[in-house]
Amino acid sequence: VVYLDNAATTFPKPESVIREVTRCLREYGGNPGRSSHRLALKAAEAVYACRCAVCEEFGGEPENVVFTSGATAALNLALKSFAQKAAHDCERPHILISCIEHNSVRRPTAALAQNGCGFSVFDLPCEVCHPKVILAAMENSLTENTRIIAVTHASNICGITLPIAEIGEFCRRRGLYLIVDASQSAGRLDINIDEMKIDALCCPGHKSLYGIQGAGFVLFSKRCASPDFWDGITFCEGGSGVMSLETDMPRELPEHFEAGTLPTPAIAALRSGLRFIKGAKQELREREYAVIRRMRYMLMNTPHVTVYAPKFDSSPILLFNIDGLPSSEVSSRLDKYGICTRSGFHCAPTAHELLGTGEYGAVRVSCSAFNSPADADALYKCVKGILR
Amino acid sequence: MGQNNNNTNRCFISLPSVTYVMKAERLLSDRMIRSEVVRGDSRRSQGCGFGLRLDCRDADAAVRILRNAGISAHVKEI
Repeated sequence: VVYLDNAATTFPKPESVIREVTRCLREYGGNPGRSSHRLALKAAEAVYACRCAVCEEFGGEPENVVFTSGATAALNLALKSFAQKAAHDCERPHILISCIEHNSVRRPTAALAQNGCGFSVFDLPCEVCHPKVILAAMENSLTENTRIIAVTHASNICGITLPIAEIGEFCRRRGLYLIVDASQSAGRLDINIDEMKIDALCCPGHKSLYGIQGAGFVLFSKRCASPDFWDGITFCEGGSGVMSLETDMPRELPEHFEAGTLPTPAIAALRSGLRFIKGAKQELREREYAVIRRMRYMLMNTPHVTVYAPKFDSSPILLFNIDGLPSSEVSSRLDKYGICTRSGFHCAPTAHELLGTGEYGAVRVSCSAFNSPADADALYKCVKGILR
Repeated sequence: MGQNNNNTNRCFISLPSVTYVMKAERLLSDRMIRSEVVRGDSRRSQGCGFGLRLDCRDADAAVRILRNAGISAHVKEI
């Protein structure tokens, strides 16, 4: 099997990650932060070590890492909590999102709009993605009620990335909260929440951080981390291991937002994945990009194949169609050759509209550090086979 | 009030959560202050909680270090 669906989840996982999950399940499977016996404390230490590893990669403080089940839960938490916060001083807070957002941003934002918030989408001029042009598009979409900007760092269907540092500066100068979806960039592009002025960085553990499915996180900025900041604002309530006699959640992060048992094996995997990329990010990225560049070159030079947004190459993602064939058919035929891709709209309908594939979708190919140039050759051979 | 085998008084520093306990334990360890993670008293007045047990002679310095790091910490002799 040639696995080219790494933007959905990376596969395979590093051996070190598999070993750590096994070790966790065999050796320290207690419930972290609940009991005081040795297995619970060992689990709590593993969870805390992961919080520290997150901060080594992305900046911030370990107590501001809130674990979630993945990026979607992280984005829901961030969007809905900041919306509650903004509603304290604004009757109808407005949220601004970009036109290339995944449904994990679009849907919670739309749901908030049903409950008293306003929102709008700023267009991305595909052909001219200079930061100044993007910031101008954002400026034009602001209203006097805008309090939150939520944007993806890297598109999940092509190589477009947004200038997060510039957007962070833009938000900070206007007193806006910045939420960033780093589902496709975490572990691949350099991110520092302090330097980039990000208020909530939302990441899955199982994509380019090479953890397993079941753990993601929100990393909050220091300015959004005091107990007073979240006073009276909760997202999910339940057991936290402390203050058991109270009906309120603990005031301090991360427990304020971490009701219920944490997925220790997935968090242990995330820590191991972070170790896997530590110091090797550049090398891993080069490996992925070499494969995607090879694919792009071959498919762009194949008659009856259209490659979309080929100028944008900040992510190891490639989107294409074959003339006269629905993307689902192409993906299905590739699967028969043993090549795993993903067809359709990839939960990003407005991004597809931007690229001109809003009507029929497209086939997405995405690489990880475990792909090789031979995988590009295999894809090319199969596409040629389909064309015959 | 109790005593350990070395005849030194033991103190308990209560912290907001197990995350802060882990952070505090590392901070103190970096400053050569030894402590161990323990569950607090389960009295009805306090509910569940975690904290650090350490030699009372280190308690004042420990609390100072933690408060300087922005961690809310309260000490009592046990």
